[in-house]
Order: sequence, then C-alpha cells, then structure tokens
Amino acid sequence: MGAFETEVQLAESKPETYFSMVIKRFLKHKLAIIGLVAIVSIVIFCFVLPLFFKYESTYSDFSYLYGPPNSQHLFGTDNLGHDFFTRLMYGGRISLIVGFSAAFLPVIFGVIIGAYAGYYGGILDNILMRITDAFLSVPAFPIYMALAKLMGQGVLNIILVFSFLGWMMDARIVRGMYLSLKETEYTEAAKAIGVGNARIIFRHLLPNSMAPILVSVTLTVGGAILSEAGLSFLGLGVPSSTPTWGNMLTNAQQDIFIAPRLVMWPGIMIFLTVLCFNFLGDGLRDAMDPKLYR
Amino acid sequence: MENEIILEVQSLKKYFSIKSGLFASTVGDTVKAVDDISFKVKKGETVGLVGETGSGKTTVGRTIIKLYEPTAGSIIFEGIDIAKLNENEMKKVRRKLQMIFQDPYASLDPRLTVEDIVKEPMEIHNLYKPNERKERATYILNLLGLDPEHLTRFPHEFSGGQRQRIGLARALAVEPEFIVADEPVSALDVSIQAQIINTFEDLQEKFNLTYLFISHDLAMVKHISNSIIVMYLGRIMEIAPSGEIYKKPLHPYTQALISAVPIPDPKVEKSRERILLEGDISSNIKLPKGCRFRPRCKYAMDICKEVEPVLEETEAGHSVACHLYKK
Repeated sequence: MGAFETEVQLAESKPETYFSMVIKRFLKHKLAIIGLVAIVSIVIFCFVLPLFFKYESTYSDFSYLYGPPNSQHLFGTDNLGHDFFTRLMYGGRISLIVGFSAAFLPVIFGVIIGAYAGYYGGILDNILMRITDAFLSVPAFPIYMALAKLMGQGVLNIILVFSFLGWMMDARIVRGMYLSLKETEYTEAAKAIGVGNARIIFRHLLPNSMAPILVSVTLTVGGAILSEAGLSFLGLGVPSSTPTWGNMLTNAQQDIFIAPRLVMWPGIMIFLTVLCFNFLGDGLRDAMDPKLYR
Repeated sequence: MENEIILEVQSLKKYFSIKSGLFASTVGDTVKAVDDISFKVKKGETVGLVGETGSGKTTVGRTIIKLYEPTAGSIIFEGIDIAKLNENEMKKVRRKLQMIFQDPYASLDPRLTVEDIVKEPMEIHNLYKPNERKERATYILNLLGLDPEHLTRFPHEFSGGQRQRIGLARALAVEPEFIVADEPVSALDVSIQAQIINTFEDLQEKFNLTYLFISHDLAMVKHISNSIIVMYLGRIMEIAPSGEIYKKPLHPYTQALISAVPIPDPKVEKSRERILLEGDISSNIKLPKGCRFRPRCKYAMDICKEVEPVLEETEAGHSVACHLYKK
C-alpha cells in the first residue's frame, strides 16, 4: 500500500532535483532538525556571541576566584578568576575548530586513497587497502598521546594528529562506493566518450558517492571533539592557556567538590554538541540514502 | 551510398579470464566471449548484429569501441588499427566512434544535468568555443525532439525514451561517423521503440552515420539494417543482406531465430512450421568439440562433431559457417 501511494504521489508531484528531494526528506527528520538548530546555536554562541561580550578570554579577576554566578559573571569564575561564561564560548571555538578540521582534513585524504584504490582496483587497490588496514590496526589513543608528546601541544598539532589517524574509515567507504560505481553504465559511457580517468573519478563518481562521505564527516566531527576532550583531559591536548572544553574539564577536576559547575558546563557542552552532530548525521544518512526511499 | 569500408574487424578475439587473489593470478578457465570473428562495415550502412543472450554480441560492440581491450585481432577504423592504440591515441578516434547503451536508466550520470551531459563530450574533445556549446546542445536536443528547457533537468526526471534520446544527443554532440548501438531500444516500451528506431534512421540520413546495431530482436534489426550478422557463442554463424536472411536463411541457427519471430498474420502464423531450439546455449568456457551449435542442431552430422566449420561465402554477400553448405 505504501509503495503504491508513493508512486501516485511521485507521478503527481512536480519533477524535483535530487537536492530538493534530500532537503524535503531531511526536513521530515525531527531529531536531525533539532540537531541542526542546536549546532547552529552552538556555533553562534562560540563565534558570534563573544564579539558582543565584555570580557576577553584572558580576563581574570583575582579578587573573585571560584566566584559563584552573579550579575557580572553569569556562570561565575574559575580557579584563576576567569569569567567562566566567556571561557566556555572561547573554549567552544577551539573544540569546534578541532572537530571540524579533524573531520574535513582526513576526509580529503581518505577520499583520494579510497577513490584511486576502488577505481583502479588490482595491485594498487591491494597496496592502498593493506596500508589502510595497517593504520586501522594501530590503537589510536596511545598513538595520539605519543604523537602529541612528540610534536608538542597545540591546536594545529592536535588537528594533524587526528587527521593522521582519521582517514581510514573514509577511505574504506569511498573505495566501496567506487568499486560499485565504476561498473555502472554511465562510467562506461564516459569512457566511451573519451573522458579521462581523473575526470571520471572526480566529476562523475565523487558526486555520486557524496552521501556516505557527508554522513561520515558529520559523525566524525562529534568523535573528534570527544577525542580532543580526552587528550586535553590527559594534559596532552591543547595547553590550558588556550581554553577548550576538554582542558576546561581537566582544570576543573581538582575543584569538583568546590565548584561542580566548572565540570558540569563544559561536560554539557561537549555532550550536546556530539549528540547533535550524531542526530544530524543520522538525518543526513536517512535523507540521502536512495534505498530508504519513503 | 558510398561503398568505402569504414570499419573492418579481423579475427577479433576477446577472452575473459577469472582473476583473483593478492597478485591477480589467473584462476579457473577462460571465457571465450568473442572467438575469432571478422566482418566489414561500409560507410553509411547499418549492420545488425544478432544472437541470443551469451552469444557475445555486446562484447563485440564494447571491444570495437575499446571499452574492452581485445585479446587478439585487429579493428581497422578508417584505415587505422585501433586495437593497438593506447588510451591517449584512442581519444581522437573516440570522437568519431560513439556508443549508445542498452539501459537508458543506467547510462546517464544521475548527478549531472542534461546540459552537462550533452556538453561533456564537446569539452573533452575541445569542440566549439565554450560559449557556443550550449547553443550546439540546444540544437541537438531540438533535433531529437527534446525541449531546450530540459537542459537544466536531471536524468531521473525523464522517461526511458527521453533518456535514450539524451544518450543519443550525447553521442551526436561530437559529430561522430560510426555509432555502436548496443540494444538501444530493448529496455523501452514497444510503443517507444519504433519512435527511437525512426529517430536513428532520420539521423543516419541527415549525418550519413554508420551503425552497428546490436540486438536480439530480429524483426527490428531487419527493418533498420542493410546486412545482418548472426552470432552464436562468440562466433559468426551467418552474414547476409537483411532481405536475404529472411527469405533464405542458411544456417540452422538462423532458421530457428527467424522462425521465432512472430508474423502478424494469423493464417501464415498457423501454417508455418516452428523450429524450436532445444537446450540452452552451451557454456563458452567448455566449448563443444567441432561445431559449437552441434548440440542443439537437428541436422548435426558426423563431421560436425569433429571439425569446426569456417565462414564461407555461398553467394555474393552471403556467408555461412555450416557443413551443410560445404561445396
């Protein structure tokens, strides 16, 4: 019954592009909409709101350490007298930047590796995929710690370290897509026209494998924010002079009984952001997967 | 019509071997999809290539446009043996040698607009100035009975017939001389098939195109072709002018194929004898010894078990590979 209704509906509805279809289906996904709205709010909170706020991230009031919330300091102050609300905004900046960069940088690498492995197949595929397997069998967190120690702390280093060990799943997904897409008739048609391999890989096959890549990126953002928090919590991430939600958690751990809110707020922010990115990823996957046509 | 030969295929072979494992070693047997075939196509003509599923006709088409690398033999297109060209050298030839695919739902990139699809071949071959390409695309669409408004749409918004026209537009964009049409209408409704076939014929007249028309539909191939090649298990069984193959089919396989074509006249249909082929097409991994049609042939003789018949001309333009017609 459902299939029939869909058909009738399709026949009646105006012809639509793939993207309008995706958007329509995405809009029906309530959790994803909530996630998207929340993420946009968080981005505004971290990047736009500080511009209109009176405190700098380095501001500190030594006469008001561990100060409880009041009209001056919305969320109170921390152990160094920083305005905690301001710190939370600036900390979010770094966490989000790390999250996004650590999701987008490796995906570029992963797409290239996966695309060439899947498209050319054979020996190249074998070599590239065995390298990928090797990277996948490395325990990530100890390596993060070693590399972070080796390269020194800092935002850029964290992003590089995450990118170094974050491309394998993307490469596998893309390889799988290309393995099946290269057998399609439109790929053969492109070859028959004389389209070169590079153009087939990037112009024809890449847009057709965008859906799983985008979903993977969204889900990676949340993971990267968590990993950054984890590394910073261990004191190997971003130095505490630059606030991130992760190192704010670290700094607050000894004060958990004096001022539990110092642990609570960064925790809530991380939790919310990661959760919303996961909702968004789920929604995108449902909206872009042609097999889930409803 | 000119009599110049535009395409000559000589002892073309295409074998597929099953490869697997880390070092891509050959395991198992070789599939002889196309096994030593030769034929000529004259400029401006349509040659029909027929045979049942598994006869290798599609492989022939794909090998001619070098989607598959031929195992052996030569493909002489306008005096050049393209079988030996590498992909770079092949690019120039591709402009003149185009292909129409069987499934119009799969042969158009779902993420490109019609404009992108039709303009791409021009971009690849650097034809026309960039700002003239849209005009050219519009012209071709008009020619094929499509609306220029369709340029901004995506393939999934079209019907099968329209998509096949878009496929044709893509092929015509580069002003080709030779088009390999691989079952271009078999995925379409019968009512649309005739339209598309007529479009093929109109275009042939207008641009002096040469077609290699691959199909399993003998009636349709007879309508459009000047001569017909009948293939079975990778070999040519019979080549004849299309009128003659109907009147005087020589090979038992051709006879069976023709008797399977329904005749739209109940009286004739009732009175004629139907030749039913028994069994399935043999495997082209383990070919029968001697004639490959022998296991299904009702005229099979002793010699058929031993010697594989070669294609021999019985009359001008009519060749057959069968021991029945040995002189």
